[in-house]
Amino acid sequence: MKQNSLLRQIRELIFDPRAKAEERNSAPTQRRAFTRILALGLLAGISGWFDAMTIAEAQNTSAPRTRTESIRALQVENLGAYQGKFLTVLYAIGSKPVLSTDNRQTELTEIRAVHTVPIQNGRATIPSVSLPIVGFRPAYNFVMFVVHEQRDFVWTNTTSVPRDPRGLVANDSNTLSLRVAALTKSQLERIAVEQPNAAALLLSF
Amino acid sequence: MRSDFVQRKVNRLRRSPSLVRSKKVRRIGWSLGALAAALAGVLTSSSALGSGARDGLRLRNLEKNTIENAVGIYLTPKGEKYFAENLERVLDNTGFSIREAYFPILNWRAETPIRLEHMATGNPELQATITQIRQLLSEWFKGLSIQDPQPEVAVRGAGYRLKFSKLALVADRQLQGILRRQGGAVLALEAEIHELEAGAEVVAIRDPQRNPYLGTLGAKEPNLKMRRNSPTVKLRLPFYVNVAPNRGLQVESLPMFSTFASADFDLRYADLLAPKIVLQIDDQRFEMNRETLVRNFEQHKTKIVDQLKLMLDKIVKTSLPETLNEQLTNLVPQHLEQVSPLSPPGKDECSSDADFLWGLMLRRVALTPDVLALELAAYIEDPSRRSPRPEASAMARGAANLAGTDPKGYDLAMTVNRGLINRILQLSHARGYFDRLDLGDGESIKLWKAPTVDLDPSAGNAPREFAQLRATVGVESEVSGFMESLATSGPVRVSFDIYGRIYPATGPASGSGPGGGGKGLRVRADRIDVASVRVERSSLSWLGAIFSGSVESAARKKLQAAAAKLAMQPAEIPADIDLPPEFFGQRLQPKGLRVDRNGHLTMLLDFGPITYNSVRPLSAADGNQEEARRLAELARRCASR
Repeated sequence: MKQNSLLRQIRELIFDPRAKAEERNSAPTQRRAFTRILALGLLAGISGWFDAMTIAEAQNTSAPRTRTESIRALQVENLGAYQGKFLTVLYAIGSKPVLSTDNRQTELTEIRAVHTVPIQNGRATIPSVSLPIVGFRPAYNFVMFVVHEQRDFVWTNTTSVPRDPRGLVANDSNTLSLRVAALTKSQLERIAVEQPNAAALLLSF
Repeated sequence: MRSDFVQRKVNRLRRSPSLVRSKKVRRIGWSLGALAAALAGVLTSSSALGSGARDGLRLRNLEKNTIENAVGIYLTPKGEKYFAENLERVLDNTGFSIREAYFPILNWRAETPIRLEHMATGNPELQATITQIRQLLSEWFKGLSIQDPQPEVAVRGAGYRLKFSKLALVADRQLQGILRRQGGAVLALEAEIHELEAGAEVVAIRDPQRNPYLGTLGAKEPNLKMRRNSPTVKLRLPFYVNVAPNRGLQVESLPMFSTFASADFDLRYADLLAPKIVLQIDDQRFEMNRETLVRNFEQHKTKIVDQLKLMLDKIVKTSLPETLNEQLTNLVPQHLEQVSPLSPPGKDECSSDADFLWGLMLRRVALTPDVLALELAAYIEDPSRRSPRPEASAMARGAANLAGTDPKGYDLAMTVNRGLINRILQLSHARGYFDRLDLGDGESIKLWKAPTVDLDPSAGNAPREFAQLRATVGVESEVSGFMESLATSGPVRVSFDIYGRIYPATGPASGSGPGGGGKGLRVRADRIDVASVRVERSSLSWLGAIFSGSVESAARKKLQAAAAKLAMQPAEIPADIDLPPEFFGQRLQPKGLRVDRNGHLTMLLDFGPITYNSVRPLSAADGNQEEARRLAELARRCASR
């Protein structure tokens, strides 16, 4: 709700025809719109307290080229303790609270991609993904690794539930986890640099 | 999130709480372990098994018992350097991309028609020409009248990329002094950009409402790029942050500084978009020469770029702070509150009991010559039951005090009110987690009230390394002996003090004792103060009230054995406490601990190097492999239940 309201505000700011009276009939209106985009970008950056900020408006009929970021497949090892369970990997945009130690405390505002695979022979392989870049947001900034018993898993924050891209709805059983771990985007990028030729990045749990 | 493989079992236990209480017997060291876990729990949750997140959705129904002066974060000038040198790393954890942004479609439409004369404001000559052309066209051509335009701009695939030679968030004490702001802090975002590229797939301008025949103007693949030998662009965006008692959080953008105007840019494009213009005289058609159009545009390109630079510079210096302040008023929430789950100390690691919830609220921001201070209030509540109210006597006796520490010696000081620790112990006790103490040899005593912790600066003998603590524990014990049984009206209730110490565990994991071994903090129970035994009057009969000294003496005898054992071998809590927490996702390393007379634990901390958490490259040696092994073992243990 909060996000919707913020997005509405942003749209109104930039596109709303009910603008302030003093702006009417003034030449630099276009410049004002640009200033607002800049301002909103800065606001989004000042703090993680503000919600997702997407200024794109899908009004044109022809779709523009999408800018994407590709991430190689991930092969997660040392999962022997979780034989027969499932590993869900979430590529998401989120933030850490002011104080935290637990990955579970990462607040995910937008889940960009999810893959669930069975854990077999102590390992699980997640296929490569291609994620769109939109607005003042990276393609992702956290990769969450969740081991769980049930076939499906839905991420829940402390006080909210982000939309699951597969359309799954959280219930009492699909929100249960055995272990949660995380990598930041920069950590994953560092691993990718260390393994330049690997088709799948080798990770250890 | 709950661990479902123990769900059914736990549900059964929940239905029968007495089963949980009667079967579990804790070791005496466990009580200190619980205190340690409570300390850890004050700021974090370290349980591997996710649980309770959905319970957080019940937050709205919680009664919040707020503890003021709960947590203090004091960033020294040395620590501020971290944000000057590693801001991008911090921004990684906020989900905001400052290096690049991309917008698939940006549409903008003028809200009302723009008067043609206003399009050349400041150039009376051009204004006159525009008016003249407008008149000529409408007089000489039927139906060709230029209306005041109401343009629509469509930008597809727009984006930018920046590279910084500097990106820093700094505290500006000088500007704060000049502005004479009382309280709050003036901070500034400073950037130096050495590479800048902005572009789009298409920029198209149309006027379908007022002048549809003008078609589309614009460019394909326009690209504005900073030249290689261009001076860097310097930006400074200062802002003032304050928490006012009646107005909540205020963020005010202050005048900015930019050097956009002095940078050199190159503008390129794949093609220009322009309407096809044909002049027809009788049957002869004369098409507009596009090459002339392009040549003309090329001739004026430098001027266009200069105008763009000046516009950008003007925006940053004048209208941007104004617009930011307009929007900040609407966007900044008055009261910032951050809610997180907290794993209750004493909870079985395989259990799926709901986590506690704790909230942090920013109460004060201040900038002094020594520190940038953030002071926060907090609450901790149990969403699964009605929580008892916090005990006023268990709170700190005043504000935290950093006197005696050298701000040049650490990056960050974090203070924790003992009231927070005691609140967690109180809630865990209310759930029945702290119910029994094992005295050894199969004998145990029941805890009749939640243990409370006090932090005692007078008891510490090495204040930079240790934080001394005194835990007051109330136990209920069956009495033996004819006289004692006559003196009590049932089980006797006594309180006594346990002394322990908290210390940072650094160095190799195999080490032990203060200053060595593992990560985070450790707790060690040193001694039981047998002389501190006090008998609860309400548990005595009228006879016992008369002979209370004898009952106390009997209770002391009972504790004597446990005290002697502890004195011989201090009980070290085996697991490291995952404290200090991360600050904005940045790992911290403890450098020292101290307590003050008001009852605050102060951790003196440095920002740590980047380490992997529990997922790491297969070959990495810097991962926390010991923790990974512990978690794997825990998973096996829980699965076997």
